[in-house]
Amino acid sequence: MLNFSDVHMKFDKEILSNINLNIDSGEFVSILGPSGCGKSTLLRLASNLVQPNNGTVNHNLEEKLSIGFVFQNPTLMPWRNVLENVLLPLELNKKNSSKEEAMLLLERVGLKDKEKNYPHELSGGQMMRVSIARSLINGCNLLLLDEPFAALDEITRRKLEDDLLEIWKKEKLTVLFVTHSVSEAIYLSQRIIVLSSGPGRIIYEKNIDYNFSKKDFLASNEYQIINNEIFEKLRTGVNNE
Amino acid sequence: MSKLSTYLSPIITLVIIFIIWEFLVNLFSIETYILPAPSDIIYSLSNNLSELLLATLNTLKITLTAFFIATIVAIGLAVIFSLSKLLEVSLYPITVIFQVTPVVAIAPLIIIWVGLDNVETAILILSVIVAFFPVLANTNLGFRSVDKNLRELFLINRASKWQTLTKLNLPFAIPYILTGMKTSIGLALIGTVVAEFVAGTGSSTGLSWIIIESGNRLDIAKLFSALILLVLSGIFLFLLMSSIEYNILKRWHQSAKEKES
Repeated sequence: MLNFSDVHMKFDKEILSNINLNIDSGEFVSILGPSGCGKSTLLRLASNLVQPNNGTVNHNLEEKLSIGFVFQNPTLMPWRNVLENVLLPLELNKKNSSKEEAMLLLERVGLKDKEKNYPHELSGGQMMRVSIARSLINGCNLLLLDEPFAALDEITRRKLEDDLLEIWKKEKLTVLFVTHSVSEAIYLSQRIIVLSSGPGRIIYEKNIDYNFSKKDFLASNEYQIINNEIFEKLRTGVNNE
Repeated sequence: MSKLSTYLSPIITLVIIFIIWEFLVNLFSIETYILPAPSDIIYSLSNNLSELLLATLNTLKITLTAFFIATIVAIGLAVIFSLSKLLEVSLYPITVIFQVTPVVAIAPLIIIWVGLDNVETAILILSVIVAFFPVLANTNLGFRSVDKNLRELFLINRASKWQTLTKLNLPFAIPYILTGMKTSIGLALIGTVVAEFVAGTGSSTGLSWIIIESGNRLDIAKLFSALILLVLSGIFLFLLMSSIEYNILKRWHQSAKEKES
């Protein structure tokens, strides 16, 4: 689905070094790493917003690539109401605006009666839900999320994480999720990639296999072991800078 | 402070100033050709009402036309600048030259070029020159301030330049454009008045000509009447623009929300 091959990225200084990563269709992968390690750059490479200095980024798809991007801030247009914000990608792609589809998505993200509200009338969590609905309206097959829940309180965050997991399962999306939070990455992902601090290199990969519910997983010893293991890798990655 | 007292306080203050003014003029028997009493001004205003109102309308007509043209030209230039860096670096310094050159200094030139037969056109051009820069500078700033992530969202969705302009840059810049327009409408009035002063040959029909003529005849009460109408015109234009700004932004912009609360 998404393949990074020997990717090097440099702006003023080297941001990413020797990234080799293959993400399968339908996989939920999280990228963990310290600030400034190039996590967001990795997402921008995946979305073709930037091109690598060396190496290649390929999208191997049978169907047409459609990318949904959720930023750290909700990035809503304050002059458009909720429904108009969600419909934006359809307008830009000159597809027929499907109000019904947008309403269904809003219902799925828990904003059924908020379609006429303006962003300033919503809470932080609600704005992020609109942002997620907007990223899905185009029928995206690759969803990229750049620390979307970082600014939210713990309860809203957990609720949104559960909603995201449900959407991922229902829509059979491929998800690349950037986060600072080890616990969030473990809770959400099938696979975790840990980057070292500048320049970002992949220093660790961990598959999260579980056959029971996420909530049970949180309470398990296995969760705690993985948490400690990844935290240790992150700490080593920062110290070896 | 209640809304009523917010509106009433400046009116009451003005009334008190006028009462003290009237009292002092009578007390010291000041000649009307030096400082007329408010009652003299009101008398003059009512006596010359049709002439003064016609002059006010002429000044306002040129001011609003100049403001409209200045706004269109400025937004158009800002759009061109946003589409072409080369045009921006080539043309922006020229617009700054217009901005920093005092209108009084270029007015005689414009009047000569346009001709004294078309003095209203000359006044209009001068007023446009004075008024267009704040809208240009603010629109430019608005375009540059567009949220980086929103730009990326448009790129990811392969938006065309036209879509980016109409669905992102222009709506994002609206509060900036309106701020520029609020400054610009006042400057358009100042530009019109100054240009009328410079053109003041009798061919101008605005309030400035009445001020010049009344000053020459030592009809200071009429001069004050024209001055009051000029001030009221300025206040009217400012309130008009503030109301337009509020009505455009009230649904979604923080500034209008704060005003409401």
